Amino acid sequence: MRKTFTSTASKIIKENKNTALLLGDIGVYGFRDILSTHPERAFNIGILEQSMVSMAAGLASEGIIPIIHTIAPFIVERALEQIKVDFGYQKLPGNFVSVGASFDYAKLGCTHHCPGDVNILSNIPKVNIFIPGHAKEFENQLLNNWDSGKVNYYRLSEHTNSESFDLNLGEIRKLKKGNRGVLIAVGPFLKEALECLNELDIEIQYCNSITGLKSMKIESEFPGKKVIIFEPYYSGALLLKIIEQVSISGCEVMQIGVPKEFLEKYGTYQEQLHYLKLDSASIRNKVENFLNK
Amino acid sequence: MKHGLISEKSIFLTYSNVPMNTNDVIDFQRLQALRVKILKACSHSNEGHVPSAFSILDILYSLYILLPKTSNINFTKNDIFVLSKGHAALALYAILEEAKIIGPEWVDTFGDFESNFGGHPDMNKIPGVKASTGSLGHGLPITLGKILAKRTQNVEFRAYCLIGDGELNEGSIWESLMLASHHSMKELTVIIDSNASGDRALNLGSLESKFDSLGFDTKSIDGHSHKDLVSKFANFHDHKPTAVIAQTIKGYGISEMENNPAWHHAAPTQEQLVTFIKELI
Repeated sequence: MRKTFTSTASKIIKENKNTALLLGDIGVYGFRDILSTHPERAFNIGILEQSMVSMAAGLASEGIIPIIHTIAPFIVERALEQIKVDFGYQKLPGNFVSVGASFDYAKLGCTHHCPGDVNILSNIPKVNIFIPGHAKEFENQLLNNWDSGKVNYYRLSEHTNSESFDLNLGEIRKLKKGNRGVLIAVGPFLKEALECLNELDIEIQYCNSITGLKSMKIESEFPGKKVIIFEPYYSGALLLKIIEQVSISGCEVMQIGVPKEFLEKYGTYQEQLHYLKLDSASIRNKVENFLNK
Repeated sequence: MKHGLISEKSIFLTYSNVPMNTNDVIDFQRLQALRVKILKACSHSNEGHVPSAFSILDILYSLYILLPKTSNINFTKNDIFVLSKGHAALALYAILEEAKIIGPEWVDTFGDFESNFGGHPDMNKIPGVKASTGSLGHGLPITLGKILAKRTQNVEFRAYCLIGDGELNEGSIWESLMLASHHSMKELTVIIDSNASGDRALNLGSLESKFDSLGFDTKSIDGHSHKDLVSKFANFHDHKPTAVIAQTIKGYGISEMENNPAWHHAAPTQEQLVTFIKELI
């Protein structure tokens, strides 16, 4: 996804004079060409995320739409107030692209983890959150939304699904039929869901964005009256969006997401999934228990 | 008294005791009238940071009213002013009216439910307000972004950003000062409202040496002297950003308010309002 980001953002900067790229000293080598050819609109701002976000808002206030990039916790958590006030409150457009997701940087430890980003940003009114499960999905999302006039957050991950789906903003699409329940997988967690649940009589739906408005496109029939929401970050954001729009009265709901604890282990991403019981076998176990309850 | 250039009373006496030319008298009368409006607005809503507004009123008057008379600065066109210390909004509203950018309605509606004029300025509601500030440390980096954007438009412009000395506690300000220097933002003048209000928490020592070392063309002046303010606002370096450290008195113009922290976020009673207006006019 990072390579796709580099090529797609560079294309946007090259082709549109009303755009700017601001890097928090991350991705600089990948963007070396555009930094060199467009120094008036492509900047390695440095490791000062608060000022970078406010500067981006200043650019936006003068008609230059910014793409802002660094590792997830440093943009979302360190510069949260700048996103909230300078973009949200001032009603300015901007595109925030993060890397690292929940714990892609498994070996680097908790300072570089960001499982809270989606829930945190969903508290800022009207922010659109994109959680692409595939590089192609991200490419479409960025190309289709960079000039939407909104605050857009794109959560890139090193770990992707094997297939891409061309979903609209806020769309939840049915990928597999089933009768005993429905599982809605978000972004790159679709891979885990498909790997372990394909043989179960369960409907699988897929979603790769959460709208800032009440406009999620949800199928309101929940077979089996059992709903599982499977998110690659702290649980919560999608369920809140769903119950804003459709009644899940009479349904049992299980949320599976990254547990709210500091993940003080290192190792690989797969080891972290296993430790957090988010690997395929653990997920299958949880889902079967839930369906059999 | 912590100001190096002036004493509290000597500044106020500048107006009352030193002979002034006709223009000075007119400016003085206009400013006193603006102070009265600010007090009335604050009294109307029982809200506002009057001493902070009075601290910067001469700065804004010099910038918006006097400077355009002797230069091509025009804040309704390409030039930019951002009030980073948004809690001094009452001064900005008064000056925007004086510059005929907004009408007089702010006085009687300040802080009302449906008003466009709150305790901090809203750029989506008020013509001439370039950033919705209030949380300190945001206005300067926003100004930097505006400069980068203006540079792409090939237009001549100046950008002024007013920050408080208390606001200098914010890390984002120092980030932005480094960025302004790194990007050779010669278009930028940072005005520091140096009224020593931040000293009770964090005494920053010499601001001059700090701004100098960050690569700014730095001048420390009497922040209530229109002549000095206009002079410094009209002159800038050919490749460095400019810092004007304006030595001011918080609450300037009302003896009871001057450097009195009890008034930082307080509104006058009706009785006090009458007393203060008598002191002003």
